[in-house]
Amino acid sequence: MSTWLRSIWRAIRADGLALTGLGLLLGIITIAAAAPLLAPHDPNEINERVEGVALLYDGASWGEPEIVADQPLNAATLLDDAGGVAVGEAGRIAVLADEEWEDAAPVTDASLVGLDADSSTVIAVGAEGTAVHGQVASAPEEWEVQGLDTDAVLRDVSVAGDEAALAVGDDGTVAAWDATHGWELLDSGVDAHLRGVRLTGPGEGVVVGEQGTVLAYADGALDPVPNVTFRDLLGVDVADDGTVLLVGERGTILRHPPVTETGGELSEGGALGAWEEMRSPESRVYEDVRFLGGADTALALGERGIAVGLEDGVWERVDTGYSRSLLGMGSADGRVLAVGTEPYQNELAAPSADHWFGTTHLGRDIFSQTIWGSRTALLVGGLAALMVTLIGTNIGLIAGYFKGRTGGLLMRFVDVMYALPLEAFALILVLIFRPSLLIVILAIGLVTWRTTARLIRAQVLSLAERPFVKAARVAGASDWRILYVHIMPNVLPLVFLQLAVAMAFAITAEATLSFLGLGPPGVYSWGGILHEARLSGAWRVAWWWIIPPGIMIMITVVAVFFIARALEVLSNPRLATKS
Amino acid sequence: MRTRLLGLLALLAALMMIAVACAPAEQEDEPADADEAVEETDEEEDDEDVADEDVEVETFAEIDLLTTTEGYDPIRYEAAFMIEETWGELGVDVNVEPTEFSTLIETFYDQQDFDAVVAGWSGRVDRLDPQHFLGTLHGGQTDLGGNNPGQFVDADYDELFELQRAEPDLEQRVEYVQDMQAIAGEEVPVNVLFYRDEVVAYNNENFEDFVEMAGEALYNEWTPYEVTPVGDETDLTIGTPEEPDTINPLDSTTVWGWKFMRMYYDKLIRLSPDAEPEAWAAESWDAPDDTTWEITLRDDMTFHDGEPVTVDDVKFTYDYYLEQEFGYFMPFIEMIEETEVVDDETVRFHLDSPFGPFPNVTLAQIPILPEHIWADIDEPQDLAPEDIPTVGSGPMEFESYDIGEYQSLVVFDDHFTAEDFDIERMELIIYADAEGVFTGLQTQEIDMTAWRLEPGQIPQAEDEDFLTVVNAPDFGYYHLTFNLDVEPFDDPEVRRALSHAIDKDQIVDVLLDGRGEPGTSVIAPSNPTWHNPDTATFEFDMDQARQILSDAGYYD
Amino acid sequence: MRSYLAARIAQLVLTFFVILTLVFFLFRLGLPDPTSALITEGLSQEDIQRTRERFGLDLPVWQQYFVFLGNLFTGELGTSFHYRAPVGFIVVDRLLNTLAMMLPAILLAYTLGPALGVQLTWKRGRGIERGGITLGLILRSAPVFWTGMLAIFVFGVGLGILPTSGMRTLPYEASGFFDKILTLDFLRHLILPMLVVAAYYIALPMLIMRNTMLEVIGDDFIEFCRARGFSEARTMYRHAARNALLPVVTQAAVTTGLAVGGQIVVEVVFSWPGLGREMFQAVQTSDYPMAQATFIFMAGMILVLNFLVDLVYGRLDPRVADASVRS
Repeated sequence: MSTWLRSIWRAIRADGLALTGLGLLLGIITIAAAAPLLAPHDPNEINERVEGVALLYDGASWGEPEIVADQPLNAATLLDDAGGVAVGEAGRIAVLADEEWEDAAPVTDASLVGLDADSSTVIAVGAEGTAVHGQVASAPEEWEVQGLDTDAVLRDVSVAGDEAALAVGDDGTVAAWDATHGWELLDSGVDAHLRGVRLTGPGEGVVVGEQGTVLAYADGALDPVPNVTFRDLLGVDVADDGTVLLVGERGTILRHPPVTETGGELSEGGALGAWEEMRSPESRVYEDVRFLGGADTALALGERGIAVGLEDGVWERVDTGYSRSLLGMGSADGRVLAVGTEPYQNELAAPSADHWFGTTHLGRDIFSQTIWGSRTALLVGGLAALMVTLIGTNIGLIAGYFKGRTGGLLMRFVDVMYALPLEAFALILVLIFRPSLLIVILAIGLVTWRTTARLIRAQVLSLAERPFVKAARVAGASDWRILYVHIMPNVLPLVFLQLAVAMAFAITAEATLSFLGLGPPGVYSWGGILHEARLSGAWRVAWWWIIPPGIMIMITVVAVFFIARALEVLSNPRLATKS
Repeated sequence: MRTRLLGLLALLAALMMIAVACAPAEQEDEPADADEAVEETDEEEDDEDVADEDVEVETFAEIDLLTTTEGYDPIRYEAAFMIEETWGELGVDVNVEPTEFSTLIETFYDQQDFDAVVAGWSGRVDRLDPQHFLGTLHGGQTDLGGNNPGQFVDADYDELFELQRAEPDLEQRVEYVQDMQAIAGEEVPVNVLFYRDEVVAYNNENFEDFVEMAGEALYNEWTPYEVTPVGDETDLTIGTPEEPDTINPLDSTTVWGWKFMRMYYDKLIRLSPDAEPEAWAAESWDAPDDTTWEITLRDDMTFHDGEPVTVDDVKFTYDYYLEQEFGYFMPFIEMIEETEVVDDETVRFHLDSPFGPFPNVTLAQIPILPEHIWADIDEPQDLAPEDIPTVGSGPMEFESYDIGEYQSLVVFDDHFTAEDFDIERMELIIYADAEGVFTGLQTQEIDMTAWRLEPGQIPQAEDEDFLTVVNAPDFGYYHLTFNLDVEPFDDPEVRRALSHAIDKDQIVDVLLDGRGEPGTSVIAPSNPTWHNPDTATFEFDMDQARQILSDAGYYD
Repeated sequence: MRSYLAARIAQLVLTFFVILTLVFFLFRLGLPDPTSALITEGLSQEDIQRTRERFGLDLPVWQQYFVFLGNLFTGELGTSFHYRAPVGFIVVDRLLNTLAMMLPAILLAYTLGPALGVQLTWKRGRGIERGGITLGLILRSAPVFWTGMLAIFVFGVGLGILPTSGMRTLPYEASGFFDKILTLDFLRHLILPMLVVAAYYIALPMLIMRNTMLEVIGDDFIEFCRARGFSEARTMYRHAARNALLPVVTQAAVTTGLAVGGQIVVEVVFSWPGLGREMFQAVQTSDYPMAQATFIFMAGMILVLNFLVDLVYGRLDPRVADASVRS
């Protein structure tokens, strides 16, 4: 055996291409062996990114999305002097002044979720009943943290005239603030999570929340508005003339005409009974809404950067140039400041330092998938090839040596195998037995041994007539001994060649089956990556998704072919002398 | 026999098993990577702190979770793996088995040989009435092959089911239906995972004023009427990856056959875009008593071959369907005891039991067939494709159908609605897959898609100025059905705990790009008449899931 | 010779019969019941039973087998469950579609390939030979579905100059097969899939040509040609190549046989309505008659073409078999 290995090595060493092939194959084997170390990400992990983004709308067009904080920003407000404030997770406060953003040092660890400001007072509210009070003119570092007597998350706050504010939050929490008494919890009479609040004056406003909760607020009392919708409501705004807009999940937009027109008061829940369900061009979640100037123009935004504008009574999609979640907004003089974003899946990212081969449509790392894919390719390729060679060689040996009935029968069997369309038959086998690694290997192995068998048989036929076989027979050696001890070593070069050829075929076959969606489930394979790319429809834009796995298949198979060439010379020395 | 075939392979298998076991290429078994993404959110960390990874739910055997192959539906495939992960955190061993669709259906419905299945029901206009979806949890449908393979049997539920079926008063029926959803929500024999929006697109440079319907998106009965050409093009071309199984009205059992045929056959009633019954071939209808329905037929209708449409054709059609026992329609017509021609314009249906949704479900489904053509056909199912009659009285006339390639219809000028059309023809190009449809859309070969776009195609469609993308909510749903005959799913506490451990928001946000809605009830929110918004929601909450399991004694 | 022919034909028929049997039982026992796919649409138990009777699925499997054999003998392939139409017509149509793509591709590969092979031999020992071999092997290593996707990406999506799906632009009224393919529109649809398949096939004839040529070149009569003062080109093409062509022709026949069923992925990638894609669909939907028929046609093509090769060659020369190894 070792002499054979040595002569194989000699044949490979003599051929530059074969040497290259061996190098490539060893490289791939190394990659496969070291896959857990080499893959920078779990190939199955949906990679997320977190950042705080702000977008400015100047009344005519949207500016570039700008990353202004390292944590998601939940709420924003625009100030009269063209400045702005945004607050977010982990107490982040970002300040816009003179068109420059500053990520200010946090004064609290609690996540800040709601924010509002009037001409001088700014209040942010958030997790664990946190409220942060500040003066518009002062730096955020000087803002003061006040704790409310609740653990609930406060979701929104509205400030009216620097002397009053109302905050709402989870589990029906409502708290009112005024300059003299500070914060005071109110009984809302509901359990639903409250998500939005808008004051129209110090003692008057509207509160909205999940499961269609709408409350009218008047001087410390809350009055439920019945039967508005069953949808979660997340944002509310009231125009100067009293028109109310509510937005929420599943593209919910509701409008209520000014209550003054119907002779009621905004503070009476019963007066709010004329909701108009507006047609939404989007079916996803709206997080917040703002009137822009009068009651006829408004803007709503939400999940995945969706934005819709109200113009002439109709909502139309607005392109913000951003496709991550927008969570909060503030407006002044027709300008809008929008901020986001939740941890978002980094989908279809082009190659970068983080993701060398980019990411899939679900934000999975293609480089890691490709690395893991080498295991499947080699495992299936190697085992199937081994199986093919084992079956093929033995059938070839037996059929070639026992020429009579045994050999004839075996060769008829080989004939049948020859008539089977390979790809189709392997596919049927896999479909019938449910795809798994084992079945894929068996399907490939069971259908491709036929050529090996036929070739080995042909060689054995001629070897059997050679004098050394006759000599062995005369010496009384048994058939099996002649076959496996005397003849087999002479067909070994051909066996090795067939092993290489079968491996190249098996790797391609595995990739093909996986590409058709019949690969082993839950296992990354190069063909499977391409299958997913095609299935998602995103491969038409994501070139980085289709190039790496294909190249890997090509390199692996060509490496085996290069080696096979050297082995071919070994099994058929005539080729060597001629070239 | 299948096992015997497998047995033959066992010898070779043994060798391979060893090899496979030695080289685990399956990534699920890999521990999370050491250098985790830096950006781990607080919530996730919280979860992991609480997660006591050592706790195993000893009493559970491994659960096989059947789902579709990735190729058939990547959403259900990925969703199953997401469930495997969160259930795994509870200590429940899950083995996801992606299965070829026909095998899946056989295992699930015919053999009922499963632990849990991720499957779906498509929304079809006749399923807007709650009868069908509620029926999937009815105790009478638990037989092999029935629609309730999870074996949910609840006496209260079944009683309400019978009550609602017979209830002619809408308000009272709504109440029954909502009560049923409350029971189903509390008991969770089926966890409704999500409702997926139908996202389709049309070419706004050729046509405008498309009609959107829940569950049908744009390829509905009304779009051909309402679309107006923007340019000179008056042929509305639709791209579809699906085609009719047959255009034989006594053989077609798929929605794709009927979506095509309903344009060239008339029905007594048509459902409006809001699914309200509208007078069609019937001028009016009325129920003199619980078990009688009476319709008045229009007098100005003719079939495409010039013969008038008469009350005899109506009676013939209903009798014919009953006599042929056409399975696809039997649920809609089996309660009809007799169809009686009263006079030239009146037909009376006598039912054997009260059936409230008769106009919406029955009269709006059954096409009127020409008696003079079908009366002589005794074995309609044996018709060769080229012999299938295509004469109807519908607003459009059949023109051609080339299997695998092309279907077309032209407006029928003598129809009472002919004036309403701005188009002249409607054609469907049949593509091999969603890929092909999208290419057709991009190259402006087609004006609209009949079937939804893949998530990856949607942003590309949105980037094209000439395409308008439409999100239509669906009232069909994707669900995880527990087999209540299998431990531990017989325990409602386990079902509730596991329901808390399914992150539906993530499924919708990540897999559907937010274009859909986490599920609650088998009657979807986009079917607001019947939906019960107070159905138990089972928010994603791992702590609560552990708590429930622990309270029920599953953790030591 | 006649007895040899008779024996070969008998063997052919026997092999065909074994494959028929194998396919029949494999599908019946392995695939799910075809009626199950209909149940989602709410069929009742009685209706399922009726459907089963209609398609003869209520009989015991062995009876179905004899019905199947009997029908086959009269040329009846059954009714497709999916199309509710006779299988024969559809399968022949799909077969022609497949051939319409594969034959031009094989023709291209087997004219260009050998010519390149001659060039390689001519330039033997130089860098160009090495480069040619490397390129050939690379083309053969790249999976066709991947090169197909790249081709669509570049020429269809990127440049937008060639159609990427199907074999003609619809709607299209064609009365017959030749109407369908004798159009410019068809040619435009053909270009990409044909080139992708040809690129994959070209290496084999090229390398076979080179190997055989190397053996021929040493033979005396080439020396003789040179001695006669023939130009190198004439020696190569007129004399050496002619003698080396037989294995290439043989390989072409074998490849044609395999090509009918061998390129499912190309048909899938380019949405080509061919035999391979039809089979894939039929197996997935448990459409037994369709799956059987497609498979039988594939196997039949291979058998017949291999048979013809055998006839030409007498007995299979080991070296010819060697050439077919890599197909």
